[in-house]
Amino acid sequence: MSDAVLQVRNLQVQFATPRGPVKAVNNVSFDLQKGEILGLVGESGSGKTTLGMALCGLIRSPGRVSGGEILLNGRNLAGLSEDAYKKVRLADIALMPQGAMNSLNPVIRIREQLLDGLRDHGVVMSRKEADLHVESLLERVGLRGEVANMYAHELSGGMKQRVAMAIAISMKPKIIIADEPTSALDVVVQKLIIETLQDVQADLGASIIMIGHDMGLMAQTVDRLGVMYAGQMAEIGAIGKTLVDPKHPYTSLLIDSLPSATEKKPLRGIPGLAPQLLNLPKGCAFHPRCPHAFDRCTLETPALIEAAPWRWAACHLLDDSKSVTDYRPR
Amino acid sequence: MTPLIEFRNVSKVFGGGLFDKKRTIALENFSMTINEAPPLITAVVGESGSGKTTLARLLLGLETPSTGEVLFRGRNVHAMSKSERRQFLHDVQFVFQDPYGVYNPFYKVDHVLTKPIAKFKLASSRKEARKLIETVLETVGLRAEETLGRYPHQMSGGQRQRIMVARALLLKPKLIIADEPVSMVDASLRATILGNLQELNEKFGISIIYITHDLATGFQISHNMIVLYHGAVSEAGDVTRVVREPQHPYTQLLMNSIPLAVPERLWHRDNTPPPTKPSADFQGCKFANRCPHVMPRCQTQQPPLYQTEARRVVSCYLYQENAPTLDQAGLEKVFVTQPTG
Repeated sequence: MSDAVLQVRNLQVQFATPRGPVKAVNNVSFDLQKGEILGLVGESGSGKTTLGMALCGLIRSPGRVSGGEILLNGRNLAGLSEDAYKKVRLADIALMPQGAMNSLNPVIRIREQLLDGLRDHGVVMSRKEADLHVESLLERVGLRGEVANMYAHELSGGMKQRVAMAIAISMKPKIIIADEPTSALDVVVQKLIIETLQDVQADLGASIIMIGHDMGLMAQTVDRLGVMYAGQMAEIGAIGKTLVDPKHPYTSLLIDSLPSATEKKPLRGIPGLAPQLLNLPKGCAFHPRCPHAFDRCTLETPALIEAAPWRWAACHLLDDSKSVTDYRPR
Repeated sequence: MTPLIEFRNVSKVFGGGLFDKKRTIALENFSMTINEAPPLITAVVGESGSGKTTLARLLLGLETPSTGEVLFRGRNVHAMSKSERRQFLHDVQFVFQDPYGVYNPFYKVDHVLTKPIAKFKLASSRKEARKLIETVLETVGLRAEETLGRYPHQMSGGQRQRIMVARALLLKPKLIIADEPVSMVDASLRATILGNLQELNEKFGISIIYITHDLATGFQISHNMIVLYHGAVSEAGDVTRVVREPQHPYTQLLMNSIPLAVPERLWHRDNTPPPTKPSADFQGCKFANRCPHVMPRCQTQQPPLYQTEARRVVSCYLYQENAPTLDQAGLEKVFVTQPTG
């Protein structure tokens, strides 16, 4: 536990709506270890992006962090003022936003966009130092130095994504939050981008939270996986074990819904619709879609329990089998 | 019997005159026939810039071929009379990539369903129209009472895309062209939409051209597959052969790049060559500068299509021994002609 760079405890993010408050992130707790890649999956509306934004202090009205703690090396970031958070962002926690390729400014050269954050943080550099810094950043993400003088429209999707990555690492952050870093990219480019992200991580010794919805990409990339449903963490644990033996029915349906490239089998989606956060079902939020739901699921919200060493899941099915977790080293 | 679709030596070149350096060959000497019966699903696979969307646009008549012609049921899609065109727009339906952009946010989603009914007079009364809409929505797994009367922003991407599939079905078309229908949809909903398409093919006898960059989904629902690379066919034929044992180095690269949801780490760092664009006047194999097996010959002349198996062609000199070249005829020679269970 001592190696955790980030400890999130009972984090809650609420949005005020005309029809009442909505909990987009509901009581989420997890640790991020130094140097690990943690994946977060879930369907649209599951709260994964909101969680990432909350960690960067980017929740804006009508939303707010309504409870819990975000401990960065022991220091609580939740409730920090905007000015104080500004110092944390980019320097400690950097965000590669969703659709990062569209996050670049079309009328400013890439060079200036790479230096913008540094200036904002009060880093003073001579022109020569700045040139060197830009060049080394671009080199790190696998881009040629000429890119510095280009505009966003001159770059391909993969190159723009690399620029977004260069911006994120410009101050050597401890944590990089990559929100769907490869959506809308081709499979080959996707693989190249992920390889670069891994290189950069090894280089900086940073930890990464990778948000996405593709189980395959997670399987090939992350160390641990968190599965979110309706703003809550349904399951979290080592990726290899989660794939082989998922503890939450939602996780296993997610895995099954993936089209295989090796054998033809009937295509199966997850039945039912994503829940409306304003009107969450009573008990376990997943019970209307769960093939294993029983009476208790409609009444009681399951708590996250340690289903196997270092693996947690929130499901009533696990309660009875808790005593027979022979995964535990005896 | 006249085939459903015919591409006869179709090329499409974008960009200016002879000396324009920005000339792009989007499709090069492409020939293919797809028969009306039995209805099959043909996957067209390739990364961005491979020409797969150009192929669809040519077929719809939205682009004019630079050379060659595109026929639909024996009629050139660029030389149709007004009534033929009208019938064509009825028989060929399209499902677009972006389920957000196709809706007008000011109209309820009903609009995309009632419009074709009115336009093609599919129903004689309001009641009949409603019944028709209910049936097609049900086919794609949506309940009319939960769908109709809502605005696009009130629906998820997956639901919107299924409404587009339902709309396509409404017209009982002969052909549906689906251009990356699931790339913007949550992974968990992809299976449902692909399942819907498969059902349209099997139950309603609709031929489908499925355009994608994802070999895995292409493999799941299609019978035949065409792999395009910068406008040229790299590999084509029986989907199970192409995906299970890819022969072209480009198909192999695509296969190795798929992230599989298995606990083993299969992504190896094999110095995946980054995408590059061959210049328009380059005469060799378009994949040569990314190919791990490149030979001197690849730089000078584009390889023909070698028929390496009964149901497959590969455009690669690695297979020139013992494999006859596919002559002028189209890819249909190696296509599966019967759906298999």
